[in-house]
This record gives sequence, C-alpha cells and structure tokens, in this order.
Amino acid sequence: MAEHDPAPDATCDGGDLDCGSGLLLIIRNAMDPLPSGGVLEVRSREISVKEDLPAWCRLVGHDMFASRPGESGSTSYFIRKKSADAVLKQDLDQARNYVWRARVRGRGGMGAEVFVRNHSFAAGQPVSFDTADQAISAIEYLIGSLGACLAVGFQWRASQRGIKVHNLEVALQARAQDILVYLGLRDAGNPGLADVRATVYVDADADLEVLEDLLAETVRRSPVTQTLQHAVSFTAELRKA
Amino acid sequence: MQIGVRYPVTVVGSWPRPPWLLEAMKRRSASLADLQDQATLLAIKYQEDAGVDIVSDGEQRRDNFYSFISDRLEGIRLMTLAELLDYVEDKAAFENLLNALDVPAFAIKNPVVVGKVRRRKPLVMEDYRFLRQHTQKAVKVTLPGPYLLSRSTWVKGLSESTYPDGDSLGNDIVAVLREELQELASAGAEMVQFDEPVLSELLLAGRSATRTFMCAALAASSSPEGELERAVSLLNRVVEGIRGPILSVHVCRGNWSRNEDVLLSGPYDGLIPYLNRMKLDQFVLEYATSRAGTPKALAALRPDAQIGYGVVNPRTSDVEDPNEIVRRVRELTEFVSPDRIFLNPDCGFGTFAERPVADAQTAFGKLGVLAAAARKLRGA
Repeated sequence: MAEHDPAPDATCDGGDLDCGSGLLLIIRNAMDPLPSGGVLEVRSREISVKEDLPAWCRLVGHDMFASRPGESGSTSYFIRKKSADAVLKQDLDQARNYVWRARVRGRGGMGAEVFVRNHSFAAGQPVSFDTADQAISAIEYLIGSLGACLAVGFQWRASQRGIKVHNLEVALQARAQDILVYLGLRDAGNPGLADVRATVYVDADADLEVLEDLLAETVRRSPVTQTLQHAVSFTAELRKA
Repeated sequence: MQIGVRYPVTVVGSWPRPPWLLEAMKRRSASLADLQDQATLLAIKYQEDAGVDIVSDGEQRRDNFYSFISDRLEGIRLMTLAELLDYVEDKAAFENLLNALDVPAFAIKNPVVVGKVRRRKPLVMEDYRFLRQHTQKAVKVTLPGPYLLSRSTWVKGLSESTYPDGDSLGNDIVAVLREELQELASAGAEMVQFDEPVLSELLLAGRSATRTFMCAALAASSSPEGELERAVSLLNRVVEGIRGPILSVHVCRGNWSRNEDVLLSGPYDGLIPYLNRMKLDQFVLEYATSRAGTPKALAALRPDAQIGYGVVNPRTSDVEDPNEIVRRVRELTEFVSPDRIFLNPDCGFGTFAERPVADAQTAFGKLGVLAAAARKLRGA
C-alpha cells in the first residue's frame, strides 16, 4: 500500500498493545490535535493491529491509506483524519473512571475462589509458610501482581522504544511488619507489608542506562506499584543479564 | 598410567573464559569455533606457564561442565530453568536456589532428555585431539559422570515418554560414556575425570535441604544411601574393563558462589565406603576450606587409591602460601603415602561460563603456588 510518501503530521507508538487494550485511545488522543485531512503515523508491533486498525478506520470514517514495515519488527500505518472525534473526551473520562471488579467466593476452610471478567482462580489462606500448601496465598497474589505489572509494563514500554527484550524476569521479596498480628499471637502492631524489593533481570539489546530509564518509567506508570508505594517501602533494581 | 613426577600438579577442569569468548557464546557468533580454539590455547598456556603437570583444555567450549552434552548427543535439549519451571515439582526449592544465586531462571541452562539418547558426535574426542596437538604435557579430560547425567537430565513430563524413570535412562548414559572412555583410552589420554559433584550433596544436604538444580529431579522419597549405591553401580559399569588412563571422579561441595556460607559443609567420612567400591584410580576431593574437615577421613580410603588433593580455594582472591600447602600435604602424608597424592585446586575456576569464581590472573597465581609447593615437596 506504500504507493506514495505518507509524510505524517504526528506519530504515535503502540508497541505490543492491541486495539482492545487501549491502543485506540492512544491513537484517538494523538489524532485529536490534527486538522481534518491531517495524517497520523501509528507504529505497532502487534500482529492483530494489521486487521483491526483498518476495520476501526472504516467504522469511524478515517482513511488508512498506507502501511509499511518499520524498524525492530514494527509496522507503520498511515491514517488520514476525517473529522473531529466528538466522543474522545467522553471516552477518556470513561477510561479514567473505569471500575475494576472481582467476585470472591468463600469455599470454606482456608480457601476462596476469585472470579474476574471471564477468568477465575483459587486462593488459599492470606499467609502461608508451607511450600507444600495447595493454594496460592493472598500475599503471594499481591506481590505476584506487582511483578506482573512491572514485567508486562516494561515489555510494552520497551516495544514502544523499539528495544528487543530477549529475556525478562522480576524476582520479588516482601517482608511483613508483624505477621504475628494476623495469626492472633500479638494484638498491637501492623500485619501489613513493611517493604517490597523487586530485582528486574533484563537481557535486551540496549545499554544499562536506557534500561534503567525504562524501568523508572515503568515504575512511575505502574498502577499496582504506585498503589503499593503509598503504603510500603518499595525498591526496584535493574540487573542486565 | 605413570605421570613421572611425585606430587603431580593438575586442575579440576575449567578455566575462566575471556570476555570476548563469553560475548561470542551469548551472541552465537559465526566465528565461535575459532574463538574457542584461541581461548583453549590461552588456557593451556596459562597452565603450562604456571607449572601444571597434567593440563586440561579449560572447558572453553562448554557453557558449563555438563550442559555441553546437548550439542553432542541426540535426545537431549538444552533448556533454561525458566522453561523448566513449568515441569519441576519442587518449584519452591528452585526459587531458593535462584534467590541464593541472585540470577534469573533464564540464565541457567540444564540439558534435558526429550528422546532416545545416543551420540550424535563424540562428547570430548575432538576437544581431546586439539588439546593433545597443542601441549607436550600429560592431559586430563573431564566428563560429566553417569549419576549426574541420569539424574539431572531426566525431567518428569519431558523425559518419561522415552524413559519411564531416571533408572532406565542410566543404561543409555552408561553406553554413551563407555564409548567415549574407550576412545579416550585408545587415543592415550593420561587422565579422565568424571564429575559427580552432587554425591556429597546427597550425603551432606540430607533429604529435605535445599538442593541444587542438578539434584532437583530427585524424588522426595529417594534415600541418600540408595542414590549413592546407584552412583557406584553406574560408574563401575562405565569403566568396567577399560584400562589406560588414570580414571578419577571429582566430588565437591558447590562451586557456584564466592560466599562460602551458602556452600555445603561436612567431611567425606560417610562417602568413603562408597568411593572405596568405585573401580577408579583416583578421587579428586576438596580440602582447601575448613568446611571439608580434616584429611584424616582419607585414612579409610583403599590403600591403592590416589587422591587429587584440593589445596587451593578457587573462589578466593588471595593466593595461598606455598608453605601452608606443603604443611597441609605433610598432614595428609600421615595417612596416605606420597606416591598416591596429586595436587589440584578444590574445583574449577570457571565451572559456569557466565559465573566464573576467579579471573585468569588469580587462577594463574593459584596454580603457580601449587607448582611451587610441589617443587618443595619433591625436594624434601
């Protein structure tokens, strides 16, 4: 489709994000300042965008008139804006006000089952010291959730910068202030976490400084990390592996 | 096989790889084979200049002392611990190990049996020929031991369609190692060492302790005694009827950290009855740290058995005093006759390519000290 030089007026990079996970909001936000007829270049490494983006353009009336391969496995899509996006502000507000939901069913004893969207998972007692325990404890879900938020956030932001990540692993360690309070062995004190440490091992084609900058941005924009950071001491250290 | 000097000085195997070799290994450089040759020549030169009597190739072509078999055997795939985490039963033990090592699971590779095991090409014969071609010294060739291989490469869910358990895998591992050993013996290798690092772990770590990933495949119900019996039987089957090289086994207490506190502690006493039944000439043992206890335990070894006496610690930056080594060897000669004693470091200097425990200069200094101690002992 690259029949002529597209010469964009603005550019946005979705990295590995797909259309169902906020990419359309990013595109619409980047297109908003452009005049009618202005051209937006959308860079993406997500394969499904190839099908989904033209379909969305047809739906809303924009003209996706060209695409060409870019750097680091990325593809550039060129979209000519049709008209102003009357509902962008409304949709951004909707995203900002989104309410996440989960339904947790007690299963008797030391077990519960968690239902979220179309998924479900089992949870055991909030605190477990036994490696042979059958279910994942609530504290482990909490630090696992933090690690997942960092790992996926880092990968996505790396993809936006065209950095190939060969391997990524986040190792987490958390200590409670006084877990004996949970067990009922102490009355005073706080059973909450005192500190959480994350070691982020990265094997990627980028310098250490670039990766550290990427981690800092990931931490700054990570919803789970920023929630926990209000309550506990949190450190994240990057190791280039 | 006679080496021709008293107190022969040798190495346990690995030499720290140069940074340019590590980079080429990581990037799978097209010139990797040439760079491995160059690195091997350097490793040989360091050993010769230090005064080593029996040199190795420094294991420069290996990622570690046993994972390299995946390149050379059919039916084996090199997998990272990250890939294996889905399959191993004791994931918590793996987490403890990774935490102690401070490494990501993707950085450690383990060969895993995924099909019928047989030689695609020789394990070490080509490496042996290169070494032989480039030194006038006697040579030591290191091979992973049959117990280590049959236990560490068998992973439930990946290996059991070909071998129902690690025991049935043992037969093919023995066949592969025998074939290799016969060729090495015919070619005139002076010394062959089987690495069985986890034997002491079986004994010293007990049933419930944190195991290294090499031991992680063991079922929780395995008894240390049963496993040691199995190791004796496998080694004896590999060497049965083969003569020529000095046949040895190396047993250690861990060489993956410079923090001595996390490595295994304890004497070899409990292991001696098993070693005595191995049809081998030499036992390459660690005695450089206080974790090993006194060499008095070695009085119980078969009177014809040689000892590869570990008297320098590969993990410390300080180079040992030759007089102290002389003193330590004299302590051993109270129980063992001098003609049975070889001198070596406790373990390799670069067991795992990415995590060498010493740099080349330090390793060179330590080997030089071993040679100096040997000269003093010979002159005495």
